[in-house]
Formats: sequence, structure tokens, C-alpha cells
Amino acid sequence: MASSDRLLELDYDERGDVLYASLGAPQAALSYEIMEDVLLRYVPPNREVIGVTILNFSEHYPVPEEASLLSMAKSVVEELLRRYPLVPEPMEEDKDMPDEQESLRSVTIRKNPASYLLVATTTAGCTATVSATYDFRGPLLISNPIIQVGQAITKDDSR
Amino acid sequence: MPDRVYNTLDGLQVVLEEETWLKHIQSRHSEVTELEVAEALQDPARICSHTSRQSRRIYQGQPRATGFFRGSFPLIVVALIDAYNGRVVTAYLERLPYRGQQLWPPLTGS
Repeated sequence: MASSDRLLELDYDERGDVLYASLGAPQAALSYEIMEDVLLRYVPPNREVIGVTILNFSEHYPVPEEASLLSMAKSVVEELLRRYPLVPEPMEEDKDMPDEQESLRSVTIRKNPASYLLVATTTAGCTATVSATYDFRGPLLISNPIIQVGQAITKDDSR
Repeated sequence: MPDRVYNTLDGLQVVLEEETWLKHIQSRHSEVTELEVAEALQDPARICSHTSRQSRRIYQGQPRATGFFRGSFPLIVVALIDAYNGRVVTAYLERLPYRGQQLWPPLTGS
């Protein structure tokens, strides 16, 4: 992997308790929150992770002595980069969705973090309430077997 | 750049400290502009609480209509100092909405 040739650069904002890490010089990128307070940095359409930002770093990864914070940070970031060399698959937002799928964008997220209750409005104005489970590491899963993400909801599919 | 103070939609005075902006956000998350930070705080699309920390609030700005990161939107993380004041911790661009509890606009029931 090309990333292994680039040095890991670390920057710790002590006042904000934010750790910034990049493979090589930092560059403009999008962020993806892989878990609470952990952002994977990437430049679409490439899904390769080029950096990590961790908020509330010292709370998530307490260190006994300030002097060892950067060494711990290095280990933490290296482990994250090993575990997540790429941002998760559903990075398709830069693709235009067909018109018939626009209705699925009109969802109201009721609850989080483990489950969402979605109210999806069809293009015909009918509504369907479905239960969904959100796996932060993967795509949004719809537990209703009839309705799937990306599928247009017709009047017959509504409940 | 001196410290900047913004009046947020939900009644806070939030300071963007010079060191935070220049030394950390601008150098590490250069994709975010100062204008986006200002607009997200003053005219956000959403305001959310942090997923687990009451002392943090997230301001989501309007999505970018043009440019390389078109469709993404700025998220500004604010540390609450007290009931009326806050400080920008960091800012970044995302394509997925923040998962914290939405504080504004209020969710409507059905």
C-alpha cells in the first residue's frame, strides 16, 4: 500500500483535545465518522484513508504521563489505519440518484444511535414507516424485507 | 487573525480562537473555510448535541453546491463553556449527517 511509504504526521491540539494525524503532509479531504469522535480522512472518489482526526483524544485514550501522549497517539492511529485502510463502501453520495429514488431521501431519523425509525415519503405522497438498523461501519440496513435502501417505494409497498 | 466571536442561532457566543484556527483547523482541515464556519454557526442547517457529551454541540452548515467537495457540508464542533458561551474545537466536511440528537430544527412528531 502506498500509504506505508508516507510518514505519519501528528498534531495535538491540547486546548481542544483533538488529535490530527495525516499520512504525509495534511491535505484537504472529507471526513467520515467511523465511530464516535474518530474521523477517517479521505479524498473522494478514492476511498483510501489518508488521515485520522480524533476528538476528545485524552478521554478516549488516557495516558498516565503527558510525555507519552504522542507515542500513544502514534500507536492508536497506526492501529486505526491498519483496521480501516479504506472508508466504508457506501460513499456513493457523489453519484446522482435517479429521480424515483428521491423519495427515499425524505426520511426523518427518529432515534439513534442503535436504531432508527424512518418515515419515508413516496413520490406519490404515501408514507411508509419502516424500522431500520444502522450499522455505523456499513450501509443503512432496512429490516423491512419489502423496502430496501435505494428502492423506490410505491403505493403498494406502503404500510 | 484575531479571535472571532459569532452569535449562534441558538443564542450562544462562540469564539473561534486564532490559534485553534490557524495552527490546527486551517493547517489540518484546510478544506473548511472560515466563511463556512461563520455561516454554520450563525445560520446552520442543523444543530445537534454530541452523541455522548453534553458539553459539546455540533453545528451543521449548508451543503456545498459547487466545487470538488460538492454535496458535503461543514460540521463545527463547539465546546460549551457555560450556558451562553462556547468555543470552536474543530471543523470538518462530511457527507453524512451527524448522528447526535437534533436540537434544531425541532423534530416534528407523526
